[in-house]
Amino acid sequence: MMWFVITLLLLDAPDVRFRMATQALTDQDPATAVRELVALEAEGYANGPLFVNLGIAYTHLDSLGLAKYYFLKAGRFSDVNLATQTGLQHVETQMLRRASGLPVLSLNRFINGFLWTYPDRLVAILFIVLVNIGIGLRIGHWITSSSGASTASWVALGLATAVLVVMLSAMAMRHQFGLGIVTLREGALRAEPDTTADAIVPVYEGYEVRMDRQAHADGWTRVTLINGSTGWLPTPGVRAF
Amino acid sequence: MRKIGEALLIWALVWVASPAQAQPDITVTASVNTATARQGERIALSIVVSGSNFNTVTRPQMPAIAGLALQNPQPQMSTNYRFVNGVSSRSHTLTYVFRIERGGSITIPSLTVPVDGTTYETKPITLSIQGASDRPAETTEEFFVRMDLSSNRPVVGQQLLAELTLFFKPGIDIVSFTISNNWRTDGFWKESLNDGAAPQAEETILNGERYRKAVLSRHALFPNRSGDLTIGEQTVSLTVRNTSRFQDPFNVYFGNQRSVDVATRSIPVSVRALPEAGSDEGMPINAVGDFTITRRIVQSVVGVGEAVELVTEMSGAGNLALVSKPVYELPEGFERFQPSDEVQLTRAPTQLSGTRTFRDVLIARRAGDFTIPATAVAVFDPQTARYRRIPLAAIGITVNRDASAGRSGAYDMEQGFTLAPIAVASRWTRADDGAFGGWWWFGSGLLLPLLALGAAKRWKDERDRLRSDHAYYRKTHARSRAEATLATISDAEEVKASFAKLHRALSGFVADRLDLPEAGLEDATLTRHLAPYLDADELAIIRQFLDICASIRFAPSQSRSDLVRELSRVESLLKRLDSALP
Repeated sequence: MMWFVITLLLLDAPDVRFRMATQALTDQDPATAVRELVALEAEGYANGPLFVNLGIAYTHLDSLGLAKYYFLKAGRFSDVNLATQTGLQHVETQMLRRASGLPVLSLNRFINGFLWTYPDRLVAILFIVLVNIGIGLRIGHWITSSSGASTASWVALGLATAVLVVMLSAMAMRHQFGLGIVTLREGALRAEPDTTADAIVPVYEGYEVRMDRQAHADGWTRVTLINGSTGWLPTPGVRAF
Repeated sequence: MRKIGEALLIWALVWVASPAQAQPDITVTASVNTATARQGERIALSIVVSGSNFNTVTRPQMPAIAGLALQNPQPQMSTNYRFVNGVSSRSHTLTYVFRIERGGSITIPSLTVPVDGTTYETKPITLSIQGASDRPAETTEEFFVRMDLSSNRPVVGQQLLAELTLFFKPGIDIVSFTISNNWRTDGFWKESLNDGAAPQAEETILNGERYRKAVLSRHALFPNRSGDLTIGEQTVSLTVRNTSRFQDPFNVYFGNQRSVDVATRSIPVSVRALPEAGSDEGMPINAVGDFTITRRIVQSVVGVGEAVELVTEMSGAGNLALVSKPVYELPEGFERFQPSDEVQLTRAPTQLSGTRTFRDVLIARRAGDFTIPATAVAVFDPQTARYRRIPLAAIGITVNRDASAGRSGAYDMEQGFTLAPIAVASRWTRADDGAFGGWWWFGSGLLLPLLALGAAKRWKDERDRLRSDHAYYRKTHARSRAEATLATISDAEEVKASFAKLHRALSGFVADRLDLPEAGLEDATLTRHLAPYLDADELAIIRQFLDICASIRFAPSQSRSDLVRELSRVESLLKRLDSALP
């Protein structure tokens, strides 16, 4: 009985389930692999190999949008950096073969890059360090009455304030905007949240979009494509990060 | 102001040139440079003021004249002088230019011309204008344009050559020409064949008359619907010069050069429908012309999920832009994606040709060997008025299941990278860990220095107050100073001196706490200041202690046991006062 329970517990362990899913993927059964890996993700487990394998599985299932989504998600784990880059390169190649590339507007590249790569932890650490240095120097000035310490403390606290402004701006921007990937096989960016509204531009799976979290209609999300076109897409057709 | 200036200028010119003794014999006449003209031509109306003695000629008010469009409200002005048989005279001419808008009879009404304040009337002028519709046969004209069409009974999609040719008789020079942009060719796809080269004139005989001709433009026209269509008039603005006419040396403005608009006649075209293609002639794609058609795939071996590009290329002369994309029967297991369509046109002087490329992106959904079946497309040849069958061979595609065996989703031959699953999971994180393992460190890193700053500030403020506020300093250190005084009491010294220290400790404490002067503080003053903070018993005890201290100084001797008792009392009094005093 005890062995049975131990076996059940072992089978339920994330490592075991991950290995089973990987084996299914190796055995050319991407559907099973996706089922198991998505279940792990839904239970809150996360690591680089999980997302890389999900990306590979969706590549086999020809869901380039979801493949790109998971490869981008894996990009946050440094241990799978090479596999992530390879996967993204593969997906981009496939998208180009489907002639679904999109010209990039420089401003959007900058904004999306900021949203995606903004080093929030690094900036927060810098803020804390500057605050500590500023406070330390101020206390030192009170003790020693050194004018140099006073000036240095004001400089450090001024820099900390500037960094805080950047942090709050980034926070506000991230609060309003988020990145997403189009998972619709093919659709249209519409001028209004309505299937009968004018189609602005066709969209294909794998397109990166900037989602406006403040603008929601019933079942529709307002997005901006990387070429600058702004319109509405059905919410289920966009996977948000 | 401008009118006044012009009038003054005219007056000055006339006045300077006129002899003062001349008699006023003024005549005012109006004339046009031609009595008959064609619609589209320009005519000049000259108003001539003649006389031997006049000074100021004012511009007449030009009324709107039906059928004539005034080209410039500012007239051309000139003055001629004559001296015949000892009599001098002069004439002043105002010339207005009009464009003829319509055919038929046009009357220029009488015009009122003020000269030296007196008004003169011109006579009306009637013109006979030849309209565009009632002009004589082209070959009787000095110059004309003609649109030649390669066929008047084409089929839908057949390429027609439309040639715009200018004919002009010897003795006529074409100074410049401008082809109007509003040529109406409704129902036709129109492509210009012009190569930008200047037209070259050549001799030709037309109905026995010698002419020179130049092709001004060429267009390829493709009718896109059947029925009776019309190719509209094409207008050309010409500037011509007649080198054979007598040249009037005084006609400075016009000379023998004029601007004329000429137009082609509209051409009716009867477009026939394409005949139905027979089942053995191939798939109809509305192609009309002389085409070669090929079909190929870019890769014949792919993996599941890989893209296969199916390319159909049409080359030749004909209605490339109007051709429909061939629809192929695809094997099961393939999905068609986003077809693309490119047209590259080549403009030869007499025909339009080029290449049109259709690309289908097919995605293989399952492994296996597949065949896109052979087919044929039908191209209509207008020369033979029959369809030509162009066969397209079958194409085989192999789709591999194994990602690493061929062009699968895991290996890319062009990029050369391998995409293999990762077998070993690294450390698991949970979604609720937060992206960076929580932000507790941020709160701590901010809170701790802020607490330290608060504490340091408090310390600094206390230090600054102690330094700057003497009363506060005394109050803060009153107890310690009193205790330090008590600590100096020793057995070795005299009892009297010890009592003095007890007195000093108590009075010093009270003075420090109540910010009273230390020196010269009398016992009565001290107890008076204490009265608000102590009750009567406590005040009596202090008063008694102070009396003892005062009397002991004058006592011959005092026992040390009394000193110990009083020391204990002072300590308890200090404790009591410490809590009672502010």
